[in-house]
Amino acid sequence: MVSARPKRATSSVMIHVMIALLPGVAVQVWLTGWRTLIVIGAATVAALATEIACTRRTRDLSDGSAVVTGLLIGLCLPVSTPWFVCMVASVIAIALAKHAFGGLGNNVFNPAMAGYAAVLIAYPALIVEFDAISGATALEQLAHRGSTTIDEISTSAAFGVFGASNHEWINLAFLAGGLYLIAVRVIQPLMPLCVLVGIGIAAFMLDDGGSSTSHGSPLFNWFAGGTMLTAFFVATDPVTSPSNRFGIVIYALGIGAIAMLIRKYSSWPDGFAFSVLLANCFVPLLERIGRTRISTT
Amino acid sequence: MLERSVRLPPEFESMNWQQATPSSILARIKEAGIVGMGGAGYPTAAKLASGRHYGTQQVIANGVECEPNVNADRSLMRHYLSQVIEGLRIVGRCLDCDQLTLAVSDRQTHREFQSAAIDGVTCEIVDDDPANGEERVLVQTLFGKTIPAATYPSQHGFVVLNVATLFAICEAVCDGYRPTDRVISVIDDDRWVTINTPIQSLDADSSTLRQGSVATGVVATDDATVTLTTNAIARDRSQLSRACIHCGWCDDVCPRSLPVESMLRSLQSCETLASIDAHVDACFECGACVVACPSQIPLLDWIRQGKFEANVTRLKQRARVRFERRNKRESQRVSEEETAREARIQSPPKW
Repeated sequence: MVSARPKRATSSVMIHVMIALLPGVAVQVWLTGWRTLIVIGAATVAALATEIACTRRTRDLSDGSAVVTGLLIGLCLPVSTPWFVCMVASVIAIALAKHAFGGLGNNVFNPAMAGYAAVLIAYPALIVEFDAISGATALEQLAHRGSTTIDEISTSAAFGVFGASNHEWINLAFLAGGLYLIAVRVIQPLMPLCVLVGIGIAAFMLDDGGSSTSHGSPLFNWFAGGTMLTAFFVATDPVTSPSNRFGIVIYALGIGAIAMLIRKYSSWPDGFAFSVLLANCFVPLLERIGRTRISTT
Repeated sequence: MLERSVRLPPEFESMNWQQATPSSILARIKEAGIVGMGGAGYPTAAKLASGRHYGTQQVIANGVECEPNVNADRSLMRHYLSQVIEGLRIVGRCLDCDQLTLAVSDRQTHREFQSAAIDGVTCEIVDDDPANGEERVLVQTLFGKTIPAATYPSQHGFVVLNVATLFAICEAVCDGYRPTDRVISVIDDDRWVTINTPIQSLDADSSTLRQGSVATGVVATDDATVTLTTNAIARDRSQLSRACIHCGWCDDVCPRSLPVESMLRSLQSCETLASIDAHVDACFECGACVVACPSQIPLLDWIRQGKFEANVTRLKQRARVRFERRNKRESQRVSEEETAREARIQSPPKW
């Protein structure tokens, strides 16, 4: 007899995601101070309020997706972000990116990334990746460094043991959370693996050994910026990703590679928000191409 | 537990099946009106006749009960294992086949079978997977033989019968009873229910009931009654369903590897696509997708609706082709008559 209750209901999926985000939140608080909680809190509260406003008739928040969206926005935004910017990001995410498209399940773009990208463009001066401890982050320094080589720049305090300073520990915490999600079978390992492979291959091909145009080794790029958060928590959003194996591989490799290209060739320090949104555009096409054929037996 | 209400006295004489001829056993099964009690309702006598016609190498008792919250066959085997086995032997005698297998999905029944030390019957245990109860999938799992979807296993030497059917065969042959009741999982307890009991009378608390399991059952109408093929009564849970989040878990579990998720999308948006027709027809309604769905969407209701609509479209298509052919024939006949008349007018009179 199979149990009638699904082992993984949508609401319990979201609870697992929240649990998996906890180590990342904890490490971020430990490294950058309590102000992180204001950023995360403002984003989450605004997301919940918008969700309530958009689902007036049903008032059904129990699927938990709004909370997860708010948490992700709060974790993406740097510590120094003013609280109202966090709120604007969440309102855009829930109202425009999700409910304007028809609510949970019908959105084309990842809500968290859409909200984050919107404020990134709207308030560039307010969202600067400053670490409370070390000033500009490693990715920020790489993006605006002039003609210094990797060796010169990596002696600065922004670089850590193997990744960006501080960010390497946050990334490790998100990696742990992601492995937890795989262990409780909320996500499958294929998608995050392909994101990491995508950014790894791109970084390896663009890495010329440390000249002034180089952008660091695959290892550095895996543990800098929002790599792990994107690979395990953002790319794996079931609504805005393909559901067939072929589509998943192309989508995830694309996210990784595009993010690396943005890191190297644009003035944005980290490109995951844009690469996820770009990859979202291709999901309907990937669904169509990779659709399973009917088996005749 | 499992109290059986009083039945009518036996309708037929009891038979000594060891001495009876296969055809007389078959005649008795036909007379008693036994149908497949696993859910399909295929007349058992017809299946056995097909098995005799094609020759049978394996008779399989299907006790693989893999639907959510359905325990009826398990309870039956727990309390009446000897009758089920006897039914299996009767079928074996009827088909001249001594390869008898009992397939179950839970360990406890397997253990009970082993401790009962029954000769001549092997007991196989299969995974508790929603698709394994389907006879073609079961044959594939147990013997590695693929049965094409368009044919019956009995055409390939495998006769698969549900354990409740075998129990009914045993009672019909040995004691002369016609099947008038069966074990049913009502919400979460198993009991004997007389056939034709109104379904709404079985559970007064809930407004909507499903005839069958919560995954594969259909919503019971007000006047629906228990039939020989009803194995469970469940409370409807489609009210709890949420929006599809396109996770693709339904695609992953589908034993036919159908694109369930994109089918749902097409069905919900009322698209009528020829490809969807082929897909919905290939579904054998195991309910694995309903069990896997995190949003508790009643996927099978949608697919059944799609099957119905595909069928209507097909019938309409056929009717149109018939109509157009007839029109063409008629106009051809009219024009032939016209030319014949023209010719008659043109030709000079015979006198």
